Amino acid sequence: MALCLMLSGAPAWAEDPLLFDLVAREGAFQPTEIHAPAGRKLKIQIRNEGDEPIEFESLTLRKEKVLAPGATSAVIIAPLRAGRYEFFDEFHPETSQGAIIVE
Amino acid sequence: MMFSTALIIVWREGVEALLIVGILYAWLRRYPAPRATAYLGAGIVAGLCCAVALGALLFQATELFADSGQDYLQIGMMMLAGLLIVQMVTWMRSHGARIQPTLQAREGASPTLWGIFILTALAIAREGSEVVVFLYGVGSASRGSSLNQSAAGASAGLLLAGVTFALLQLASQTMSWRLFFRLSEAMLLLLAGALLINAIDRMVSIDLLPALKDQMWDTSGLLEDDALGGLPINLLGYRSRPNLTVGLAFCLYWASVLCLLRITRPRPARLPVRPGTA
Repeated sequence: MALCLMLSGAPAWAEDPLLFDLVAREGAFQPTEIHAPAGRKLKIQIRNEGDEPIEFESLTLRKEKVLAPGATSAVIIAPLRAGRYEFFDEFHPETSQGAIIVE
Repeated sequence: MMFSTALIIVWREGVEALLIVGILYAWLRRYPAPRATAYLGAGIVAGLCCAVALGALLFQATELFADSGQDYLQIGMMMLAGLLIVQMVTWMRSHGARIQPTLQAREGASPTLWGIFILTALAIAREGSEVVVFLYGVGSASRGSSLNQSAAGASAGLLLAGVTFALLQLASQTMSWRLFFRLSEAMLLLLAGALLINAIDRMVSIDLLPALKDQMWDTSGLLEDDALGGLPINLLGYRSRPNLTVGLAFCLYWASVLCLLRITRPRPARLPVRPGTA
């Protein structure tokens, strides 16, 4: 257990996450791109302002979250390396493509 | 657009439940055990009820599931399902010819019968709840032609699911039983592995477990995570950029499964066969 804590690199986990807002409305996300720095924990506050449920999903980030209309929920993402991580709304896949761009 | 979304969601979410229920059903057709079939049927009904209940909760009681609530629930369900699948497969292998009398016995069958019930209910509830939320939420909010499209898509998805189920049963009857059993074993073990690996990955993603080392390699050039609608991830446990914890979990799972498979080598073929079958 102690070994795990040592190997996990205590500093990154202990920091407060960077906050981002993501709004779902009319089958799309606002903003469609989130820019974030590498190596920092991220917290994305998702708000569903539409009148239909959404499912925030990212296959590359292994995240799935259902939000009823009017619901708010946070998605916490461990520190990432530079790259493009796509997400979408599984219930409205054609119109809701977005990405987190980490640099 | 609504048609294909509804179709894909109903069919894709149904595939995992179908594989489990379809394979269990095929095994029980081969070794008829009415009590076990009853537990399977009860599991299906319970699963459907839970799917509706869970869907309603996700929809109404949003505060319960804000932040990590949904993740904890999914993690718990995936781990339990994965472990039950492995237990079921090893049980089948080690009992060989004695499956029928064991399942029909008054005592001693309970753990396995309840295992069948819980696994079936879990498989249906987990995926079903998402379908329920989608159909109720998106369906009820749409009007006119897009509502018709959703309904048609959902029906088509159900039909495809039924066809998949029927094909599975057909396969169990037409190919040699040994081959079918081996293949269905392999599919179930792959699925269980994917479930357990996904559970571990989720735990890492919500800080319950450390990643140890992020993104050990990147094979997204070879095969992306979202290829084939997420099939490699959901049914095989593939990751293009795995962290070390997930990698260790993968190795530990397969090492354990291979040991279990060795220990429970099936009995030689003096299996009771229904009259009239090959």
